[in-house]
Amino acid sequence: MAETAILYDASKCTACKGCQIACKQWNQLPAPLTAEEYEFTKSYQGPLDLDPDTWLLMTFSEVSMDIGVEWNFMRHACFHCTDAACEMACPVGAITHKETGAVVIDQDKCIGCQYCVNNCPFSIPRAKVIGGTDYAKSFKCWQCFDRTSADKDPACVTACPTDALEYGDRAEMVAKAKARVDTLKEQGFDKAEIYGENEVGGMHTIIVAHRGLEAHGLIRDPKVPVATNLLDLAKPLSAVGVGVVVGALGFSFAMGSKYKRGEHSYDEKTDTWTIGEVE
Amino acid sequence: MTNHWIDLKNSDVLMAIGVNNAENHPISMKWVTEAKLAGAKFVVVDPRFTRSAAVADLYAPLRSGTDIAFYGGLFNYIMENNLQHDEYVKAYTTASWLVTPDYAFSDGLFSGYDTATAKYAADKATWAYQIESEEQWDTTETGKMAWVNGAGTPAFTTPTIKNAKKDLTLQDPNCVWQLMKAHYSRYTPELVSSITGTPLERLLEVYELYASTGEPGKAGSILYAMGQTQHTYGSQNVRAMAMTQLLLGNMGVAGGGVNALRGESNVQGSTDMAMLFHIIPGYMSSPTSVKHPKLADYLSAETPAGSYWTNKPKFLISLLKELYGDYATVDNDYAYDMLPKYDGSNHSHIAMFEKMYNGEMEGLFCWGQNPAQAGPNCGMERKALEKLKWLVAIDLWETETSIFWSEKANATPADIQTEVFLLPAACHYEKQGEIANSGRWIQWRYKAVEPRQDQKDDLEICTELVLKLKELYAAEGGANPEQITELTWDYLDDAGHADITKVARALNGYTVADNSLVKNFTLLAADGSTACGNWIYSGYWNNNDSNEPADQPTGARNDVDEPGEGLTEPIGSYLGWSFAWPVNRRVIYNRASADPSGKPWNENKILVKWDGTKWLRNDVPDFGFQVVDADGVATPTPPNSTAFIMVPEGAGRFFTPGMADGPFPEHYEPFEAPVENQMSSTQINPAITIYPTAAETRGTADEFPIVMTTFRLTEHWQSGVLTRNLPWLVQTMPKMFVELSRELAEEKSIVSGDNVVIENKRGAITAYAMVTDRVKPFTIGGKTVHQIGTPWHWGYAGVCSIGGSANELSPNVGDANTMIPESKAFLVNIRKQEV
Amino acid sequence: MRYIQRQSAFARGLHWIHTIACMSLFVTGLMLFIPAVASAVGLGAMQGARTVHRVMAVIFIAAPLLAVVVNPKGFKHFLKNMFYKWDAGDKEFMAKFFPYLFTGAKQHMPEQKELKSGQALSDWMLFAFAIAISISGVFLWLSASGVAINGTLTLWMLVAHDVAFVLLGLMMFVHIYLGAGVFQPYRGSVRLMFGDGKVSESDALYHWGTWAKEELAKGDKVSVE
Repeated sequence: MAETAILYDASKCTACKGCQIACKQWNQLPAPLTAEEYEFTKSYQGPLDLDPDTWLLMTFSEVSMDIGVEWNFMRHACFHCTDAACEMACPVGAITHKETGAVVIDQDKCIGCQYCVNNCPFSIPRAKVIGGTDYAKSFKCWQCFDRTSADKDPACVTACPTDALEYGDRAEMVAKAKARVDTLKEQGFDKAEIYGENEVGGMHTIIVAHRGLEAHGLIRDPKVPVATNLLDLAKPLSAVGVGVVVGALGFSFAMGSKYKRGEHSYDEKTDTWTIGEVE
Repeated sequence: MTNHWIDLKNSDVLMAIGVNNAENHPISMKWVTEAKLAGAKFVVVDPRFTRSAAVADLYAPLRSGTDIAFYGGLFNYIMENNLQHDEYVKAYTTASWLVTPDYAFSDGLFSGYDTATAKYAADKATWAYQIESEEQWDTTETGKMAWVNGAGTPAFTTPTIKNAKKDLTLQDPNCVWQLMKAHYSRYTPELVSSITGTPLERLLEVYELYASTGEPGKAGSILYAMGQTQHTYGSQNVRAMAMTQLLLGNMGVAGGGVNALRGESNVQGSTDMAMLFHIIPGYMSSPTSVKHPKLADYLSAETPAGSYWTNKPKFLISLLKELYGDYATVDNDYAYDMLPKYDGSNHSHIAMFEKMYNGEMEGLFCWGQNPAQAGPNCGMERKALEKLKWLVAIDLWETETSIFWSEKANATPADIQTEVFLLPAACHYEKQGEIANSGRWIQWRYKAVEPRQDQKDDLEICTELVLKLKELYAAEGGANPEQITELTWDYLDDAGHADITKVARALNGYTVADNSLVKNFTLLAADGSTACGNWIYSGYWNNNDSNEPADQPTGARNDVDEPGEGLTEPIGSYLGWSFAWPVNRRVIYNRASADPSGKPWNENKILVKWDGTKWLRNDVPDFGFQVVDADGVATPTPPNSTAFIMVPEGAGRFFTPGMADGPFPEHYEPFEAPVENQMSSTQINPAITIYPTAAETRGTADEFPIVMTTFRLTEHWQSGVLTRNLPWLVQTMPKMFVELSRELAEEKSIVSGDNVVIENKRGAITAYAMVTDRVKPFTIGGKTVHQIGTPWHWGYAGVCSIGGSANELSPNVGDANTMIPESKAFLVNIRKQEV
Repeated sequence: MRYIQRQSAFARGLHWIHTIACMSLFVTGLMLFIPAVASAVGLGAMQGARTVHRVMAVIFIAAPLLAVVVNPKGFKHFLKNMFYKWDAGDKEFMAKFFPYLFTGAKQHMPEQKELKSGQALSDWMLFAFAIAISISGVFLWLSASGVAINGTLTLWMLVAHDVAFVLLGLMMFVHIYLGAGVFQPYRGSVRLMFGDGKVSESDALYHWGTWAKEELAKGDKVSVE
């Protein structure tokens, strides 16, 4: 299977949240049952942030204009980076790339250390304690790998009424996005940009941000955190360290193995120290 | 919709006004987006900046309730600048028709107004055309109307055809064009801007863009919904849209039309089936004891001289044959006497609750309706429910209405004697049947799962009720028992349960003699030989060889868009997908898509085209395009200038006596308005009915200076009884809120997240404040007017989310023609809730 | 032969407890540090390892803190040994230590106080890494338990934990090599922490000459076997 990608074209999106609900439905992710568990979010965004049971969230931001506003929407979910910090940080190999490029958490391996939660530059993975246990697991969008591996589009894509979401061959999605950005620029969207083509090694979510990355709340030029790289470096370095130390100690041991020392004694009255003979 | 969803893609300019289609009709944006990709412009005119506005090419704010001023200004702009589609206007509209010199208009009042009754004269004598000549129907044996004298056809007085005088130069001061020009010359852009609060420059930008569709070959589509209709002049708003489209030549063309986006999946079906007091199935008037005590009275009064409606007797007799079967004979006037007749007074929702409030009603069936939350002035409606002896609520689960007596409703159960029954109904996945969408497609859908426990599908509940009534009347008799005992109700399967496919057969119609389904309504007769439950549905279930829905037109699912014979490009009609009433026609009045000689205005978007010898068709023609003789040989009918076959004039009407409140739309302020009417001293629509409960609770701008409007969200549906019980949806929009501007919030020391109280004389509700720049104050006549908006999805019943209902505040006053309540513009005050 | 009581029962007990905790933490930490181990042992073992790691972490941190409370005198003594100014002998020791270590103890080392300068240095490092690993560990634990902690901070705590783990691990090799007397010249010192805490007169003089002479002169910790 070739590398694939979801293409999200913000200029076609009406923020109907169909994708958000479709994600919940296909992946059977619960929402709280009683009124008391909900908070007013002060905007059309609901909930306010991703959570272990919300893998895709439509975000809203407003910029005031003379007449009306610029109301910017974004589909916030895992970008499926090629250089995936979560994968690098996962100590147990539970996070892997599938052949489509989807970055998937294997729940059977996840130990709930939440390193992925803290390493992801986009704060995508979220952990929750699994009911009936004391152990957490991390959750995030997995690009509906169960569907895509059966040759079906991800659930969010199927729900989109305006075709703002598409799924297909990554190269094709990138080409489409580039063409769309060109068109949008001609139509006066000077800041229109593509996102995900090269970021963090290339993402498997390609975005057309017609009002520019910042307006849509996207991080410009995201990087795998320095710390994540350090962590990644820590393993080979520590192997070297262990080698050097063990080697040095071994050498020392060999050199000292012949060492023989006679008995020392001390006469406190005369303050005399007798050095034992060395054989 | 005169057109249909897919057809939106054919548009050059789409104007959404009084509709928030991206939020409330998300799928519409599929086709709007497609149109935009092809270069179309999308304009949104709305009091609030909505998710539709967010994707619009042009947005114009407009104070809620000032649409007619907006259209008046548009007419003026078009006519002053000669931007109309001239050939279309001359050929297909009543622009050239002469109106009686008695017609007058002065200071907001049209001629014929009676201040004593606060209504216009019923005969509308001063709103009539000048008559050139009169003629009678040709009912001779070889005449077109020979069927009137056929055996079995009941006798009635045939109407007189009155041919109006015309001035094709449009210069006569009494011609419709000149009257209209004079009427709307008062709507200058500056004055309109001062009324609507739309910044002048932006107003003109919208006018310029939309008027550009007047160019021959261009198509403009108007999308609307409750933002247009829920006003005391809502019908005139719709008239104004129709006039706009006639002026610009946008009616009957691909990508044009007046498109009502229906807010409920099957509300189109419910009106088709006449779930309203004033019509019977197929959009025929309900008989009244005043006007039509006997069948002959009905047929004489209701059959127009011209248009396809001249066939109304056929549709009515076929309906009666379905309702009363063999019992209906020519000798008993086809059981017309069995049809309930009302007294001619208003029995709409508002009027009915007024009667209930006054103790004039005993019982009520609330079938999938929730007036205790969704009715206008719903606090008053709950008081009215208390006066009932019994109430049957039929719904998926507990609604505000079914527990109007409870503490949750702030009521004292011990004080309320109404006996309430809640019948659990099956939801749409638990029953089969058809639903009619906004584009009039009647689509069959199958049952997915069985209803749970005691839930029953509505037809089954209805059937049990009818059969029980029949049993009781048969056993006990009573007044006029035949009305029930003779009523046809054989829509049963072998086990005695309701069988909806039998209802479908009845709706389609069949010949009585051999019970064979008719092909379509052109074969219905007025002589008792055919039966048909709803003539407009005729043709949707006409396959005699199968009773399987998939084998019927309504179940057809060919998803390939094929061009008509002789044409190369399809136009999105998908004639093989489902069935659109009437006769599978996708675009109403599609004759107008071509010029009088039959040449399409736009050769790239052909609906019909006369190729010199015959009509090429991408849609089912809405005109007599051929005559088929007894042997089945078709002779094409050459083009003429009649493009509007459903109106007696045969032409698009700029001027009409058909309205209760004036032949032209005129701007009035809402029942409760923040300012005085700048157009005239007639403040509100002079023809509306104001009941005592509405008059008593009317607020003034001094006490309640803030305009409130109500709206819906993508995330919830209607009164919210469904969606507020679905956690997935609640999570996306968890709480009742009010949108208010930064300016108003500062004035009232409110910040986002505060609990605020919104109140007027009808009630008070609390909501969370959502302070946003999407709402901005208007400058009206030099004065700052604040407007707020709340969704009306919340109420006190339900599990996941409860909150104040906006309709505690909306007035129970309605449109002069339809009585639809004015939910979109009324007055309130707002304050921060004391903690 | 005479013996000096160098380590008290209290000190040895504490050392025992800390050794067990440290070793358990090291092993369970290593399971997480090497992905192949996690894959090999499976989810259940990893979850068990987390429990062990947390229980041992509590002991690892609490034991020394408790010791301070219970035995303030010992703590004072410990502080005195750790905080002192190096004199010429201390510096000379450090300068000669590595040649000494790698040339079969062919160096003549200067006489030392109760704590050799190198020993103090090593202890300092052990303590510093232990404190770093403890603090970062607490952060990680809290973060994983749902306490809202800034993600970047947590991430750097994770880095700190990893780095401290590696360095502490390496220092432990050295500590064991020397402390347990794997290094031939240090043979016998295992008895100090894992035996009865006594050091022979000869060894004491060899390692901590100055101190040994003082103790032998005082005599209160001296016994004859």
